[in-house]
Amino acid sequence: MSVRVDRVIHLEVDGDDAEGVRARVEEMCRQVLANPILEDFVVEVTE
Amino acid sequence: VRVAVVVFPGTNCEMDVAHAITTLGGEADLVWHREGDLSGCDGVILPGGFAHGDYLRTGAIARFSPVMAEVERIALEGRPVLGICNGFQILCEAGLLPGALIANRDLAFICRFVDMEVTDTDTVLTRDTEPGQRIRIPLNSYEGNWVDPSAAGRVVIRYLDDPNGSQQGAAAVANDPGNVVGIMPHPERGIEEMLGSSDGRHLLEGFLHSLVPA
Repeated sequence: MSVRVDRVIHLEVDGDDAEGVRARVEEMCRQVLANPILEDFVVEVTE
Repeated sequence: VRVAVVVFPGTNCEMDVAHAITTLGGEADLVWHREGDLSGCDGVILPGGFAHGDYLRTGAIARFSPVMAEVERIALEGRPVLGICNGFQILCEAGLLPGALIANRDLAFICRFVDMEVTDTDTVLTRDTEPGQRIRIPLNSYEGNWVDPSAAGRVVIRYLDDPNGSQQGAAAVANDPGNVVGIMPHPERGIEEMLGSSDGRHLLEGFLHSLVPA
């Protein structure tokens, strides 16, 4: 058996187009929210 | 020689490091993390603790502190930079050392003396040691498990008994030129026999000897 715990970060971001918001959040993930050496990330845009 | 000892909110080993540096004949300047000018110092130490509360990941926020631009400049100039414990984690997050530090293999905080051996003497921390020299100093960390998917990092001191799962048994890692070193155990807590070890002197004296007065 193995156990894995992931981190979920909810962000409220102002913006009109989902792709623009996604691009900004992906950049945040690369810069600080995730450590790309160790971690993968998936961005979901809702609303 | 003057050493800048950087203090982030949550750093807690700065006085131990300053005591060690002055005991060994250097001068230590405690420098707040918002400081943007370290030009009066010959080298830098990032001490242990919990910079910015270790929120998000260890060192993840500290790397954005204003002082880190100056630390990076000094590192890229080839001048000595040492990160101890949390300082090691910060240097990895800042990209000044390869890899990253994750939770110990057994998911428990480790707080005990560890036995190590020097595997690479061509760095600012290990220059006064011999290859294979044994070092026994305290390890005090939860995220001390070094991983380096690139396998490019230089392991300069390794544990003899694998306390935390660290890749290649790494206790200390250097950048390619050897002027930036991170070590997970605490050499500053091992400079007096009365406290259980003076092996840390071999490392910190070497670091002081690597400093060239500005």
